[in-house]
Amino acid sequence: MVAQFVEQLINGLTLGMVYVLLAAGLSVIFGVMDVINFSHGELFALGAYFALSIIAPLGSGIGFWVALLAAPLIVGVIGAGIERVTIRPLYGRNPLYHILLTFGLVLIINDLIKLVWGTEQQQLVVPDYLTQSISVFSIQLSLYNYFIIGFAGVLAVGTWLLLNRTKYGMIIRAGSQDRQMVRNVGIDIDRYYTLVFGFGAALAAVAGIVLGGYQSVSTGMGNSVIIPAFVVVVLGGLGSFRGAVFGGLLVGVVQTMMRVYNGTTLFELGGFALTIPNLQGLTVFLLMIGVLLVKPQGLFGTRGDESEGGEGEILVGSSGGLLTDSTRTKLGILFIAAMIVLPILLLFTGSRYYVLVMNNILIWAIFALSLDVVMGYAGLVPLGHTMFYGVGAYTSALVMLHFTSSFVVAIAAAILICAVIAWIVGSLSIRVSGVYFAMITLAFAELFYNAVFRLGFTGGSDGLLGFEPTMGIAGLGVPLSEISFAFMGYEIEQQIIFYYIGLLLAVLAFLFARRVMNAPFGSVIQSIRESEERAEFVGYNTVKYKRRAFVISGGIAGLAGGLLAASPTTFVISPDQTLAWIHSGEVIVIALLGGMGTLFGPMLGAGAFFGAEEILSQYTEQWRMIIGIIFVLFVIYVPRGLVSVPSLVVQRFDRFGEGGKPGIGIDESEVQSDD
Amino acid sequence: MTEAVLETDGLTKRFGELTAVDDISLSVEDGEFRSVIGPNGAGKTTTFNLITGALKPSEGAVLFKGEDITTMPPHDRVRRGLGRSFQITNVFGGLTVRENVRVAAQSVYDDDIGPVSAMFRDKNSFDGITKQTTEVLEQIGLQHRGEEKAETLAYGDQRRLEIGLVLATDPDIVMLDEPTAGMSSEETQSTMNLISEVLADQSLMLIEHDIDLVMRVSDKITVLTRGQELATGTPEEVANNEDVRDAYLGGARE
Repeated sequence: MVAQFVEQLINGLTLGMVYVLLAAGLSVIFGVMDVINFSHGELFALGAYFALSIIAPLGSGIGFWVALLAAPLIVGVIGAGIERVTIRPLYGRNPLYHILLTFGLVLIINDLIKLVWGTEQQQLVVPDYLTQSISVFSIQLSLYNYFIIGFAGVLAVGTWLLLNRTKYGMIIRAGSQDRQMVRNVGIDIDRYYTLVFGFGAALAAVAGIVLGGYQSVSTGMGNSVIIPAFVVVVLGGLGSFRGAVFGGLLVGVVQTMMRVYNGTTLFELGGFALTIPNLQGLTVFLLMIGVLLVKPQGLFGTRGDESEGGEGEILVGSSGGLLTDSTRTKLGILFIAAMIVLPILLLFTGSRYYVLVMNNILIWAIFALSLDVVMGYAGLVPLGHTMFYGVGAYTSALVMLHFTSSFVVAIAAAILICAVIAWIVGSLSIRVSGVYFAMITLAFAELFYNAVFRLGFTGGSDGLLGFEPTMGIAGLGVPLSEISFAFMGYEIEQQIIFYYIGLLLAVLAFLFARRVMNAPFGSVIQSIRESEERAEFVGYNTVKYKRRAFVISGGIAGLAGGLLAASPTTFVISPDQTLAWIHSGEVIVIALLGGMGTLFGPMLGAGAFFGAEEILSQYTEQWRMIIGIIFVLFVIYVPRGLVSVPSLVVQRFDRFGEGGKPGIGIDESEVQSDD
Repeated sequence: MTEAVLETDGLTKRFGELTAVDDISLSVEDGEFRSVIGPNGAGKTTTFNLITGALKPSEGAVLFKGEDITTMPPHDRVRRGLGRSFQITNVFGGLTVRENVRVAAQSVYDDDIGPVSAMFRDKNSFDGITKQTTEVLEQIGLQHRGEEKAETLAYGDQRRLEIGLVLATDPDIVMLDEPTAGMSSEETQSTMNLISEVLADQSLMLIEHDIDLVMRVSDKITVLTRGQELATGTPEEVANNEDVRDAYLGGARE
């Protein structure tokens, strides 16, 4: 019993040390440059894959050691290159842009790995003498456990010495306290950024190699560690090395213990049993939310909330539009008219399949619209927005399964439940701001994600199936799948009916959001985005307003989720399809791609994103990589999104015109009227 | 005109061992221009933050128009008529000049706007708010620049807008935190002119360390040193006060 406990404790510490290596890099990178690096998990995976390639020709005996030295160096150089090329142009912007950028890098690196090494799970071969089982005080464990703890421990101590005992370390620590002051004393701190980023990447690669040898190497390995690594960093305190060590060990041990001992009865006394609840996967997020609420700066964090968050703003696309409001309205009406005609054209041309694509786009357009309300208008960046999409889908599916198949009731329930959850999550999250808000919403989303695996009524990892909406209410109505009639010789069936329902709801959601944003409420929300302190001091309870914006956003996202469940192509609602954190990232990509702060921009962004996916995936498996590259370019060069492209083009031509080449034949008015 | 609009009663703020503000009791009368001066570290800004609500006092009370507002959040204080301007210009940069003022004016009506109107009625359809917005824009001389973005205004105009935001919230007293910090003497003069011109109907409380400026414009001056109130009186009284000469003016000359 005790021996088993100690065994598990050591297993936990082994995993914990891997987290320490990951989190140390993440944390120092944040401390020095305010960059939240989502691609850290992919650099971790990259380390393991490079090790595979090195070990293959050399054999596991010497290969492993060569890999342990060479692979981190390669990844370190790649990391330094990433900093130079992509992150450097973004310094001085709001730190949230780094989150967006590194999310794009995740897509790119992950697809590169698939391209080079394939998608199959592989085994990183460790020398035999490291894997033999040894017994210490009747505790039976692989020597490799002790190797990981020892090796990672040496690296952690080395990093600590580097930070605390060398001149470079001192500059880096000083930089994480007050960057400007370091510059003022004449040190070019920017030069150190590349070094720090490369070093963090190398540490991540080491972690990838040792964990790859412990478990296995797969393309999903980065994705599976990045969220726990964030929990570690946030728990310990962003920018704190001590916090990363403590948090890493804590999360490693807690995760391992919860996996082994969930559902174990601790003692029984007169019919009363104290059982460890089955909270596997939930505990660390509950821990993180708890810590953030009590001590937003983390357990060892010294920096105040948002010490430098004020630098740089969220760039919204609403500024500097070329068109007058009335032209824009006319264009909008024209656009909707085209959308109404579109399915008929698709029928004529025999490309019925594209109706399905359009249905998906409409659902995501509503989802992206909901994000714009909080991100583009209130200036809050949630990294867990998919929780509302997922909860909406589950609610709608559950209503159709257990209560009534009525489409209207299912959708209404999805909106209502999501609004309520948004109120609760919002009340807790809005107390912290900036990066911390992003992180706490991520934790809540992960909480829901893990909860649907645990809960019985959500169907676990299989999800829910066997529901179907009826177009009607209170027992009256026709199942969507049975609707079918002929129109000009073409069959109008459920896909097309759903398309029009989706289009109607998307337009209504847009009009609703636009109305709200032009009302007194919306104007206060926007003033909070511009300066929360000022809004407070002209007399607004900014917390109350932000919470309301969050509720509205949650409700609209619930509508999108509800529609997903009701869509005729949806046969199953599963956790990965609706609640995985990647969707929170995707919807941010879409909103930024389209142009935040415009409402219609993010909706167009959904069309562009899935349209690009549709086209690219016909030509290449690696379409995510291309979308990632496009996204990275957008974050750097077109941060106001697609909607700002026309005015950027005009600026270009203006500059061109001033250069003394009027003969090119395009003047400003012409560009405007054509647009 | 002798009614106190703002009072502090034994206001004290401790940060650990340090007592930044120590038992300060002030009384500002309706319509008065009060200045608070003192050397660095005298507790001016802390006092300011305690009155506006950015900080909570360790002891003592803040009374506004007779009401105890000690624990009230900042936005409720603003609603009751306690306005503040910022030392560093703090306007809504991405919004138009008119919208800046309009949002500030809207806060005065916030409780009268029903929940449905707040969510769905066009923000420009409220006559009272529109009227007040136009008036304020005229007072600060930006009536022709309403459609420009606030962030594109020149520095001086942004300061005007800053004052306009305070004015639009219809305050009874305006707290000004070193409004001329870092300005040339010319800019200082025009800012003070703007304040006396635009905020003539309000009581004012100015935090400053430019003594000459304070002597010219104030009705009464409070001198703080090491968190304590050293003297309060008319500019002449303060100028002739021995303690003030020793502790502040003497120290400043060295």
